[in-house]
Amino acid sequence: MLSFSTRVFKQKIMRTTGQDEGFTAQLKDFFVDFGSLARFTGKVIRELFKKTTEFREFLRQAYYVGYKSLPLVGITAFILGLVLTLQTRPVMADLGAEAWLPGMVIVSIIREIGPVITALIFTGRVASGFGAELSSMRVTEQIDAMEVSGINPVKYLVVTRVMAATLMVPVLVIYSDGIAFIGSFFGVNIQSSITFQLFLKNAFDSVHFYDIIPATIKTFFFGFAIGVISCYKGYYTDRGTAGVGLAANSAVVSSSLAVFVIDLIVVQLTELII
Amino acid sequence: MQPKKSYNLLLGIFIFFGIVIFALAIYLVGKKQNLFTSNVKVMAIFTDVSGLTVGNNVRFSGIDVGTVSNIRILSENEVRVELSIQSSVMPFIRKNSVATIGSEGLMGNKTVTIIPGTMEKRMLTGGDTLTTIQPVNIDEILIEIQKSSENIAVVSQNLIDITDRIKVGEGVFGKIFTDTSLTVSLDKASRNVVMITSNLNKISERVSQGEGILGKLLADTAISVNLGEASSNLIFITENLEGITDKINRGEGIFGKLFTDTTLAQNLYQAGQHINESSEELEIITRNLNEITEKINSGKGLINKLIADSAFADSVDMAVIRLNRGIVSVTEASETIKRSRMIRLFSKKKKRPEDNKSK
Repeated sequence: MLSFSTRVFKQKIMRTTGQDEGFTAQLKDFFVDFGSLARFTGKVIRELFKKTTEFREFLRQAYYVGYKSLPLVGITAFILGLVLTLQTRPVMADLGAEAWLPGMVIVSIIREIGPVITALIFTGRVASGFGAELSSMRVTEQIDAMEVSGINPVKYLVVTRVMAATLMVPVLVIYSDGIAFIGSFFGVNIQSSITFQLFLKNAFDSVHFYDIIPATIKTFFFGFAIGVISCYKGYYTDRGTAGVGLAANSAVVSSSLAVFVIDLIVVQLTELII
Repeated sequence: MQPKKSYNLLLGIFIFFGIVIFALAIYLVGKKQNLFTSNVKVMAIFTDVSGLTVGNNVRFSGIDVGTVSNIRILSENEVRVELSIQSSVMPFIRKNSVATIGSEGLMGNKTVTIIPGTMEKRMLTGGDTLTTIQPVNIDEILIEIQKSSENIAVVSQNLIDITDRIKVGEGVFGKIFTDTSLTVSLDKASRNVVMITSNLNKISERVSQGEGILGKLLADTAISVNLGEASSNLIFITENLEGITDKINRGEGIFGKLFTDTTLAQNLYQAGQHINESSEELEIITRNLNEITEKINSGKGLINKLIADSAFADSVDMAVIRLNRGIVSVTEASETIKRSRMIRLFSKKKKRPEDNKSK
C-alpha cells in the first residue's frame, strides 16, 4: 500500500505529464488536494498537541516570520491608515461628519482592513518562504533524510512554522492596527488640526469590544491557515527545481484565497453571534 | 543566522509590545464603557426607548457619566432601562432628576440624558428609579411636519388666489397696485401729511417758545402753580365730599335722613300722596273757577255785572251809599228809641245795660 505522500506525488506526476487532464480530472484533483490538505491539517494538529515540541525552532521561526515581517507590515499599515483617511475625508466632509472620521477609519482598520491586509502581506512574505523552503528540502531529499534519521519532519518543520504563523499573525495585526491608527492621525492633520487626545477619544468612542474580539480571533485562523497551506504546498511538492517555484506560488495564492474565505466565514459567524 | 540570544530578545520585545498595544486598546474601549471604574446601577422606566441599546451612553449635564447596562420589557407599555453610572457622579444626581432619551446629533446613537434636579432633594442611590420623560418620537415630528406642509400648501394656494385677485385689480390691495388715481390721491394725501407735519412743527415751535395756551401751559410756571393749587383745592373738595358722603352714609343731617331714615321717607311718601290728592282737588277747583270765570267773562250772572257793568256798579254804589245812609238813619233812630223812656219802661234789659253792651 502506497503511503499518503507517495500517492500525492503520483497524482502530481500524472498531472504534469498530461496523463490525466480535462475538467473532471481537474475537479477530481481539487477534491483530492483538498482531502490531502485536510489530512495534513489533522496530522499537524495531532503533532501540535504532543508534549515534545521543537520550541527553539518555533522561536526561530517566530522571529523570522514575526519580527522580520514587522517593517513591511508597519510601512504598509502606516500608508494604509494615511491613505484611507485621506480618501474618506472628502465624503465625510460633504456629510459634515468630519468628527466621525477617526472613528470610521479605526473601526474599518480594526474590523477588516488591518487583519486582512496584514494577513495578505504575511502570505506574500512568509507563505512563499515556507513553500519554497520546504519544497526545496523535499527536492533535495532533506525531508527524506530526516525521516530516515528518525526525526519527525512534520513536527520539526511544519508544526513549528504553523505555530509561528498562528501566533505571529495576531501580533502583527495588533502592530498593524496601531501603526495604521498613527497614519490616520497624520492623515487627519494634513488637512486640518486635531490633538492626539481628541483624535484618540473620537476614534475609541466608536470602537467596542465586539469590534476588537472577533477581529483578533480571526487572525489566529488566518495565521494557522497560511502556515498549514504553505507548508502543505512545500511539503508535497514535485521532484525537481520547477516544483519549488510552483510550490511557492501555489502557497501564496492558496493562502490568500483561504484568508478571504476564512474572513467571510468569521464575519458571518460574528453577525450571527453578536 | 543571527545569534540565538539576539533574536530571542528581539522576538520578546516584539511580542511584549504587541501585547501592550492590545491591552491598551482593550483598556481604552473598556474605559469608555466604565469597566474599570466603580459604578452604581440606577433604573429608569420608559414607555418607548426609541431604539436605545445596551452600551449607549448616559449623559448628565452633557457629560458622559455611564452606559446603558441592561434593557428589559416589564409590560406592554413599560421598558426598564438599567443605567450603570460612575459612583463619583452620584452626589450630583438628585432624587428629582429626570431621565429622557436623546440622540448624539442628527444621525448619532441614542443616549439617556439625565436632567439635573435640585440640591434640596436627597441624593440618588443604587437601585433607585429615576423619573422619566417620554422622548420626542421622530415619527410624531414627521406627522406634524406633514400637517404643517399641508397647511403651508393651503396657505400658499390662498396666497396665489389673493395675488391673482390683486393682479387683476380686485379689492383694496388690487386698487393699490393697479389704480393710478389712488396713487394720485395718495400723493395728495402725502403732500397734505407733509403740510400737516410742517404745521405741527410750527405749532410745536410756538408752543416751545411759550406762545398760546399750550405754550403757557408748558412754559408758564404760574399756570402750573395755579393748576397745582386748583388740584390741591380739588383734593380738598373731594375730601370734604368724602366727609359729607360719609355723614350721609351714617344717616347724619337732612340728606342722611333722606337716604337712611325710612320713616321720613314714609312720611314724605304720604305727604306726596296728600299733595297729589290736593292737586287733584285743586284741579277740580281750578276747573270750576275756570267755568265760573268763563261765565263771568261771557257776561252772565251777577258777578259779571259787578265786574264788567259800570252802570250797575254805579247803581250799586249809589244803592250802597243810600243803604249806608239808611243804616245810619236807622241807627240813629234806634238810638233815639233806646233813649226814649217809654221804650225803656217796657224793656226787660233796662236793669242790666252792661250785659247787653257786652253781648
